[in-house]
Amino acid sequence: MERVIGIDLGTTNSCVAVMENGSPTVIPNRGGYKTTPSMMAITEAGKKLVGHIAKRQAITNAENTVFAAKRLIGRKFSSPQVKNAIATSAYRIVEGPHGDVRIQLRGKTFGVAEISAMILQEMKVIAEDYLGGTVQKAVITVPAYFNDNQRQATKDAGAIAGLDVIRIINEPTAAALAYGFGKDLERTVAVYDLGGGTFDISILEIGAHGVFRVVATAGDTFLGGEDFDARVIDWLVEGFQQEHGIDLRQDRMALQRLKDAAEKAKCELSATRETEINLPFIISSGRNEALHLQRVISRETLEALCSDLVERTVDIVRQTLEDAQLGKEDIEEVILVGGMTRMPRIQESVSEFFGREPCKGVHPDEVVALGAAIQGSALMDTKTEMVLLDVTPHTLGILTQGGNFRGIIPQNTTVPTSRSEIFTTSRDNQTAVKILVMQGEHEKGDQNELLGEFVLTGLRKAPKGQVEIDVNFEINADGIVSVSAKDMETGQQQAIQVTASSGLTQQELKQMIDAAQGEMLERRASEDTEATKQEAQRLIAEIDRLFPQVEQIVASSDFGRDATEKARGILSKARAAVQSGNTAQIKEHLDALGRTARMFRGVVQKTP
Amino acid sequence: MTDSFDQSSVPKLAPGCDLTKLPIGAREGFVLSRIDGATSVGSIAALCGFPGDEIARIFTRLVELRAAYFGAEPPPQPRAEPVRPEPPRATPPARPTRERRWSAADLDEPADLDRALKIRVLDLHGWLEEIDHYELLGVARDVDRKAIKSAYYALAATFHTDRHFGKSLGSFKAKMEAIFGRLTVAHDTLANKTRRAEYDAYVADRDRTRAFERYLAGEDPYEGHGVALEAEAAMADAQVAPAVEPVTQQEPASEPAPAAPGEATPAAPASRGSDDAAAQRLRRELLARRPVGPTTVSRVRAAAPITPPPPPAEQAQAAADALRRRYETGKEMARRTVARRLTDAAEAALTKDDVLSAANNLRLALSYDETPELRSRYEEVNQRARDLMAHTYLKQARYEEQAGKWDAAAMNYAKAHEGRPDDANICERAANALRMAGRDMHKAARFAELAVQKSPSAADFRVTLAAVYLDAGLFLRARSELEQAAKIDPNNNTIKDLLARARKMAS
Repeated sequence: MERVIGIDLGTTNSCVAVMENGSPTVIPNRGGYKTTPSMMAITEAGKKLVGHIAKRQAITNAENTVFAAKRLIGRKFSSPQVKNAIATSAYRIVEGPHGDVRIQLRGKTFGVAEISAMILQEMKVIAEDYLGGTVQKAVITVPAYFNDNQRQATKDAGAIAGLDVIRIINEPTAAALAYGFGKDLERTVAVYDLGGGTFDISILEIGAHGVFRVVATAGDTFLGGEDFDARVIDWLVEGFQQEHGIDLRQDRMALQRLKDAAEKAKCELSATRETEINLPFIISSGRNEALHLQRVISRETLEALCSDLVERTVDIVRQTLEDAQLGKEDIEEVILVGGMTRMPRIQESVSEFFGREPCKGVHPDEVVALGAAIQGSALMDTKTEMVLLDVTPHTLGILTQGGNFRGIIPQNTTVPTSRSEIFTTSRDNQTAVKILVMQGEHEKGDQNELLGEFVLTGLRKAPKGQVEIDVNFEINADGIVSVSAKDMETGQQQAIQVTASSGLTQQELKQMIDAAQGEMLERRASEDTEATKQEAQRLIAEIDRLFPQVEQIVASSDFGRDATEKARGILSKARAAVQSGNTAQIKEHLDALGRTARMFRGVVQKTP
Repeated sequence: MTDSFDQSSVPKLAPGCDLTKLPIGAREGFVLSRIDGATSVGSIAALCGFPGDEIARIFTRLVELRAAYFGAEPPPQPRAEPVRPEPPRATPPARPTRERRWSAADLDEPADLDRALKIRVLDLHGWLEEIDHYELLGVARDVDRKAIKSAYYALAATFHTDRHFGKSLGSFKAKMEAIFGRLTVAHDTLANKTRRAEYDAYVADRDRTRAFERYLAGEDPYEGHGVALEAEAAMADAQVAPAVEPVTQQEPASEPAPAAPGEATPAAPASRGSDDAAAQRLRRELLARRPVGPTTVSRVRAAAPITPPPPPAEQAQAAADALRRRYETGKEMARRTVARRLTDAAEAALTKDDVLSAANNLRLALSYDETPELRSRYEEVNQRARDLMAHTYLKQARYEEQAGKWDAAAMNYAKAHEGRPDDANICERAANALRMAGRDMHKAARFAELAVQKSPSAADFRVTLAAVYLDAGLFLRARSELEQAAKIDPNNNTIKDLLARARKMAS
């Protein structure tokens, strides 16, 4: 059976897991960490960095370090969320050719999916190193409230990273899978997922036969840990402004330092009552004098700064339960997911709302990746008795007269499903209708996401309202939406498979995939070069170290002098090869170096 | 018709025939109860007092059903085993076997599924639109929410295509997705209290209207069969009870039931756990009452048990006459008793608001005792039943209308109209549903015309009629209707718009 990895592509951190001997396991990265920062950067030398290494240089290279790309993926440049991100990001966000979002780093423009792809590729490499073989198939998680464009963009990112994304599943659903898998439970659970960038709430029923049924899901794609950080940054910036009359926001490097400090303080306050934020030499004043930022923040202050954010999540939870016609008492378990749920105030609010303590058995940072790995394994191996009955998170429908949105498949409908509705023409003698497929909850069409469009032509000329068109929506198990429209009179039909748009054309996507593949080969090659070089250097150093000793021991014999002379020759050639940086050449000398080193070692050991 | 059967020929009961399973009515049952292997057709006809052609029809039917036969050789029974095990009727009910709507070619389509699952998919998919939610989930109608959920989970785990991810399923994929979609609708409906109540009401209405349709067709939908058989048994009791000639009554009791080798003794179905007590009782009566026939017949049979020669015609005639005289006297009383029982059952049903069952029983009662009082009571209850059904059809139609099932809604509005022919609203709704279903515009026009005729001052109805006319291309008529409507409701913009359009089209 082919291996499938599960990737939790988070806003701030990502995590990869795989099924091993029937149980899901998180794979640590090279540094031994189970999560990897979802950050990438380009150095002055033009080198791409991903993960911890990108995070470490973020302060000194703020303008070329991308964080939280997930908040931008699949969005339109004109959306308020992107405007918001532009204001708070040190890196440059520009408009792409299709109204999409692009990021400029050191003069080069990247699609958001391309940035995410680099993180996915890193996760793929982590898994491959661990498993000792290539990995192609993956299940990737997204916030439940992602729309189809955002999901498609995530899929594209997977493709660019060289992954076959067999399924996109929702993060809270994945968490529930990890919680309930193989436990033979029958209960209704709520998953409260507050991550770095998004908030999700999902209600699931876990039933017999390994069935996980999503009952309802809702959330906010722009409410997460980053917003808590932003509140702390604002507090710091305002305080500084009052004290020194300087707006720290104007300095990108200062902003990045503030961001780091705010996040660190927020995390610390989950464990301690108060902590100090100390940023020396944050900025220089007009009089060429360095200014320092030093403040103490208490847990109460943080809670006061963020109380409305916590309240917002609870409101969404309340609404979701109401929509699902469920009472708090129907929830038999509450699962907390996402790093933000470590905040005591959040745990208190959730316990208070549900009237029960949340489940302690799951690790909020790892549970999502584990669930993704479970789903991947269940899909590939029919022996795994588990089936996930997912829902469509947004209402799907079409645009009707007056710019109104008419929903056809309501949100939280279990997929696969199909629905149809009859529409009529809206103008006299109308011979064609344009079907605009949209997704969203707003009654005005322009407030929702446009997923695709097509035209049904050849209608009979008739007064408005007389020609009837049967519009059918279908969502299959893979989440692919097909829409067809049929003229009821003539039976004429038009259909499209709605491919949500990630903001990239097929051609752009292909180019990106090719480029990424090329880079990957280069990277593997350069890793190989690096390893060879290091090996050669290690051997050269060893021989150098032993040389005087050996020379002394063997100097008495001609044979010995010959040997040391030969060794000298080998060393100088090897040094030249290492200097040239040519892997093949270095490899040629590795054998000779190895032999010499072994011989030297032998000589030294044998001599008392 | 009588001459198709020789009056002197003697019908016999076919061995191995399960009498309780026969699809026959009360009158056939009564005739069947007179067959004893000795009494001739003529005698039975005389004895029952049914018209000759009806007797012939009944015998034809009984022979067709292989319940009775003439001549020496009993016909082979259609079923090899005389006792057929009944599928268990306990909850959950066994899925009724339905005919297959697929061919071997469908099954042969290559797909990465095992054969049994393929068959299940094809079976279910063929009936997907017709079976109700309970049947689909394979649960009884009274099960709780939990049972519905676990049925859904089990079926979802079977039919969800993710269980066969990455395999080639061909056209089975779409079929399984359709089945899953239907399962979900069933679950979502039945797991929700309010929606389940609505659906249950709909299903109950549908069952009732279906039964009513059978009732209208003269069938006996309400287990009235049982009541009728009960009544038959009562009739037999009544026949004895009048005590016209007490002597004859003792005869059957004193004479043991003959067990001649030629005697047709139905296989004892004792092992069958039938709940049809009335039918059992009839069977018992058939066996026990066989000697009730004229003593002469008994004697003849005793003399020649294997193949009784036909009794001399005059002797039989005399015996039959004697019996008939005696029987006639009691018959009136007996019939009245049966009719009374049926009437009582009807009144009892009425107290339980079971109007349909009441009407059914009264109709049966009428066939036994045609009195003016009974007739008028029947007419009254029958009208109530029709009213009720009109109401039920109406509810159904509204449910279907909301679900966008215009075809079904149109049909049920039409039926509601039959029950309440004077209701203009129903006519209008029927017209609209027909128009929406895009079926029969003539019929739609007739309904809409009727609605307008009944309520000439309702502008809405005229708009519907005009819309039908417009759809049917009758622009002049549409215009004139809309002009009338505009007179009634001059400020209505919809009417103005439509009228402008109709004028344009008409010109």
